[in-house]
Amino acid sequence: MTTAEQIARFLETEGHRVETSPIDGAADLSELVFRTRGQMFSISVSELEPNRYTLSTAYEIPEWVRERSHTVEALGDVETDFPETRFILAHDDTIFVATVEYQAVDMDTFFKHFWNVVSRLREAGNSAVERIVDRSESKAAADKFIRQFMKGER
Amino acid sequence: MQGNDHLSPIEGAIEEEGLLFTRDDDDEALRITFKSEGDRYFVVGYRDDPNFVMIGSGWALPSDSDFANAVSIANALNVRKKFVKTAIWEEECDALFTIELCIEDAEEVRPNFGRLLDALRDTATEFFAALGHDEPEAP
Repeated sequence: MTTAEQIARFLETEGHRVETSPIDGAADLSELVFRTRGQMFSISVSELEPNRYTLSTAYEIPEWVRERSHTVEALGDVETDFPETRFILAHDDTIFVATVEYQAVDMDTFFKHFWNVVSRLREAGNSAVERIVDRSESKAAADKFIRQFMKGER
Repeated sequence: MQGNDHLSPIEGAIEEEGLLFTRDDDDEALRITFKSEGDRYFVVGYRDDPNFVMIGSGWALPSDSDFANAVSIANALNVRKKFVKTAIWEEECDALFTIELCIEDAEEVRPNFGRLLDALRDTATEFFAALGHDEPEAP
């Protein structure tokens, strides 16, 4: 049984539907896609490196914040809080992809910690969304303006 | 399968969550069982009461659990948590987490199914954390 088949079987045993497909037509590279808690995740694995996995999930950037310049900065801040996670903007910056690379000792260890890794990636992604849509900075700027404004004499 | 399958929209909701499920109906009850992230859940309906549906999960209490403490934690969760009823079954030493709904049509559950699953999951997680066990034991 291939590594991809073992992961697919694990996910199905855990109750999840899985779609497996080759990446770029390469026989040794596979992508497995599954859904949990309303979010799609994908696992990339190479049969040549069976204990190394890339787990990814994508988030849409709300349209009203796409023009704001702080998205890259916000993602960088969250990478500091979640150093195992990498964020990449994609599709003309309309989405970002959160990715973690996981090196397991063996398949059993991978399965044992799998949902914790998913949970941590989800936490990082949600944190990034919260940071991107955070309005507190614009509120702080408004407060600063109002404080300056109030200094004027009548 | 017999008629009056008023749980079929919930099968659709489970599929939309990307989950597999099995049916186990009899003359009186409609039952769906499924797993999410390895945890087992059930949905129950009754043929003679199509307005009632129950979604739930349950785990064995850890063998070293203080029963009175478990009941106290369950009561606190029942006061605080939306939707979820936490019950301790003393004889079976189980903790049961259920959501009971009165519905006109199970389609009403469909758009909220993910939220209800989250509520069940979060309540169980909080229960076992308060009990001093981060991971519930297998049933």
